Amino acid sequence: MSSIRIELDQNQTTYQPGQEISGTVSWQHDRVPKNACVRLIWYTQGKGTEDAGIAEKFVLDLPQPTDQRRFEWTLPAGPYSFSGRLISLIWAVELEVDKKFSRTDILVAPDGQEIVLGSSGGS
Amino acid sequence: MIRAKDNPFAIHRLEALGFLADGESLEQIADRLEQLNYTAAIVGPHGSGKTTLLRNLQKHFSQKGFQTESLFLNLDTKLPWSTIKECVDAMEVGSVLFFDGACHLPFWRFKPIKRKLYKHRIGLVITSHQEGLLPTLVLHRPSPKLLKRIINALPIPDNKLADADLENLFHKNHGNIRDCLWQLYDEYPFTENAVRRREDGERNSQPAGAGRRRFRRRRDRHRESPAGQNPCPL
Repeated sequence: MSSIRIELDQNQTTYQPGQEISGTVSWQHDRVPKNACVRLIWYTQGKGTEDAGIAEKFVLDLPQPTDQRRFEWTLPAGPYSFSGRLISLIWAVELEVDKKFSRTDILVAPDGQEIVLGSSGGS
Repeated sequence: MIRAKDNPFAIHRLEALGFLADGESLEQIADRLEQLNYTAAIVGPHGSGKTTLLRNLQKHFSQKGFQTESLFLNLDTKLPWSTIKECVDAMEVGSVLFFDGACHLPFWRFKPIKRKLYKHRIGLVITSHQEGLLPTLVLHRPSPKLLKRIINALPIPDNKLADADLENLFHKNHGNIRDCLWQLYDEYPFTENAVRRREDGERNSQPAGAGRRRFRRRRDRHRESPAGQNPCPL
């Protein structure tokens, strides 16, 4: 039985572009993991094939069966989190331990609110 | 406006459903694939769920510890032969290659891949529009019933799509389930305007006389429905 977990500092989920993002990842595994990695990613949802990109990647050296590591990055200037009728762009922190994944979505936008395309009044 | 990520017909929600088919579970199909030495074809027309099943099988075998690789080829994606060859050459004994759209390769290109993988005991699962390239694992025959099963499994708030609407949609899209779901994505949240547009489209695309037949069907449906209820819930 194994579990993997991401905790963002102060349980923050809304960030400004260029802001620091930090937190802790932890896991309990039944054996020594072959690899462990935490990533800052964006991905799309909506109509058609999903797209994704990696903004930051932190390979965790010598992972132990039960382990806890810190991560800290500076968020890029863009793209902002947004949603339109056809596509939404979502930022997330993703942890991978031996092909097991955990993902925590975050919001990256200047005024702390997702940009909604085709809406004059914001979200 | 509904945000893309909240649309019940968004691709991530459809993919989360996994494989839905009548009669046979994914595990049963995986067992049959094992009996076929991991070399078989998923056959069906456009938009019938071949890619969905292929991806589900790949995930299934990856989780069982198999080393898997995937290739994707369609009429819009011109994958260089060198890339295909590189991928095939890198496959190890006991692994499985999931090749989506292998039927788009010329036969003289497909044949050496098949031979090489067989020789090195490497599995090959393909999708194809026709039977004959490899032993058939599944032959997809999309139906309005399958479309209904998919829609019933989606988290659609206040789903009022009637069977007759789904049948119309299925036939209008020539049995292409993917196109049906994309049309529903565009029309969600369902409004009278969207339904009218769909019906107008049908009227324009149907041969002479079809409109009259459809009118008679709708009239008869209306007669059968209880007084005061709209026969079309959309």
